[in-house]
Amino acid sequence: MSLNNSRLTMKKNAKMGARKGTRKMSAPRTVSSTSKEKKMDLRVQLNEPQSVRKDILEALREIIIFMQGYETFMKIQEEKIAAFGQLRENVKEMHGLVHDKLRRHLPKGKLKGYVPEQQKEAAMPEERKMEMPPSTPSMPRKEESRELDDLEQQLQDIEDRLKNLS
Amino acid sequence: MERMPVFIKIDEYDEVLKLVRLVRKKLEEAKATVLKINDLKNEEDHQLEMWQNTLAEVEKKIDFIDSSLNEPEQF
Repeated sequence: MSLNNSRLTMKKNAKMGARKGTRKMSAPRTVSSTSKEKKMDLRVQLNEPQSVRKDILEALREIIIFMQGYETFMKIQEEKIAAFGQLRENVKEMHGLVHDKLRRHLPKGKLKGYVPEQQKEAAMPEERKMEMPPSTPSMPRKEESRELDDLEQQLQDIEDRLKNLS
Repeated sequence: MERMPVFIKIDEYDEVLKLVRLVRKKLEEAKATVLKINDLKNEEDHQLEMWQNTLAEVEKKIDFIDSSLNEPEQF
C-alpha cells in the first residue's frame, strides 16, 4: 500500500520540486480531477536519477553498436555467399578437368562385364522411362536435379571401381 | 596380369602434365577459398559473441532501470 502511495504523486508537486531543484516529493497524493481514470498523471521518484539516465544512454549506445554489428554481419554473409559460389566454381572446374579431360588421356581400368544385347534392350525402355521428366517445372531446379543425379551416378561408378581394385 | 604397365603417348603426356598443373592450380584456389570461408565464419562467430555480450550489458542496464522504476524512494 505504502509503495503504491509513494508512486502516486501530484504533477503540481513534481513541478514545484523541479523548480526547487530537488527530486524528492512530498507525500504522495492521487490526482484529483474529473477524468481521473482516463488520465492518471503519475510520478515516480527515482533513487539514483543520474545512474538511470546514464544507464539509458549506455543502453542506447550498446543498441547502436549492435545495429552497426548487424551491418557488418550482413556484409560478412554476402562475402561468404560469394566465397561459396567461388568455391563451387573452382570445384566444378576441377571436376571438369579431371573427369572430362584427364580421364580421357588414361586408359580405363577395367572394362565392364559383358551384357548380352537382349538384356540391354530390355533394360533400355525402363531407364528411359525413369529419365523422363514428370512435368515441366522451373528450369534451374530441373538442371540442378539432373546435375545431382549425374554426380550420384559418377560416385556410384567410382565406388564400384574402387571395390574392384581392392 | 593385374599389374600390367600403362603407357601414354608422348604428345598426350605433355597435355596430361599441363592438365595436372591446371588441376593443381584450381586446387590451390579452392584451398584459398575454403580458408577465406573459415575466416569469415570466425568473424561471424566473433560478431555473435559480441552481440551476446552487448545484449547481456543492455539487459543489466534495463534491469537496473526497471528496478529503479519499480522501487522508488519511499517517505
